[in-house]
Amino acid sequence: MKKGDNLTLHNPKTLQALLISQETQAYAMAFLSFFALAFFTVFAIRPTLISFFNLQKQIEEAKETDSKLEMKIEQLLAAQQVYQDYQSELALLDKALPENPEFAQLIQKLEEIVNDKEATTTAFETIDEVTLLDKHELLNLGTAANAEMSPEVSEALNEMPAESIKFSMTIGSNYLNNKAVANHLLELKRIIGLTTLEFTNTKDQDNVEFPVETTLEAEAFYLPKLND
Amino acid sequence: MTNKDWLLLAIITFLTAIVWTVFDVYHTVTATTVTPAQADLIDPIDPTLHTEIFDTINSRKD
Repeated sequence: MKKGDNLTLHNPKTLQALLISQETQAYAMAFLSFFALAFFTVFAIRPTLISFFNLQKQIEEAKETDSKLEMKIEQLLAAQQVYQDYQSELALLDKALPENPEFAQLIQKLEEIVNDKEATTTAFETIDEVTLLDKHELLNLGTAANAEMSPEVSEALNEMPAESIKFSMTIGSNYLNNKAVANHLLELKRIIGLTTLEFTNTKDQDNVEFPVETTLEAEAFYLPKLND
Repeated sequence: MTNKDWLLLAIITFLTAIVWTVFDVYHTVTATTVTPAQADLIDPIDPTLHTEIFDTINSRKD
């Protein structure tokens, strides 16, 4: 039996001759070998290799996570120690950057400074909208009283990014007193930044009771608590 | 199909299985098993506090 011979397979004798031919046996053996290898690769070797590498990876990452967690515990302990050491000083941070605008207290302070320096406030205005209650109080007020708060207002309150209140103030006195007021503002524990400072000599103007008028535009900063 | 065709099919099947296995193993080796929650937990923090700020605030007026 040679390659290319025409065979009639329905003849048992011819079929038997084909099956016992060396070429067919060799092909059948090779086919079955490759098929068996493929079968075992898919159903035995592949899952085993995947499990092996997966477990190895998990062990490696678990060790790494463990060492990082230990490092974080040390960092937390260090942070706790620092917090305990400076706990009494933390109130200072609230004074410098209060959680709420604390606008009423700010105005009271401004009035106090102006009076101390023997100056007079002739004009005061806020540049942005200022709420006397903080954002959460306003939202709670809206819920508690079942007040009609439009969704736009509520949304604006929730997204209010403002971290400073801007105001403009005009004071009248002599140059030194006005300068002292501006200096005092900048030296307050509450962080206030001056954006504009303008001195106007009013001696030549009529109906003006102060020799120098000073216009201050300032920003008082606060740090709202971050929502989790 | 001739004997040769059957053999070729078996070889291709075998090679496909090998390639599949290699890619799966590669994926297993490169993919992380750390969950996002765990990644958040192990994120390091900086415990240092700039304590000079307290002196600065203290030196300012009330």
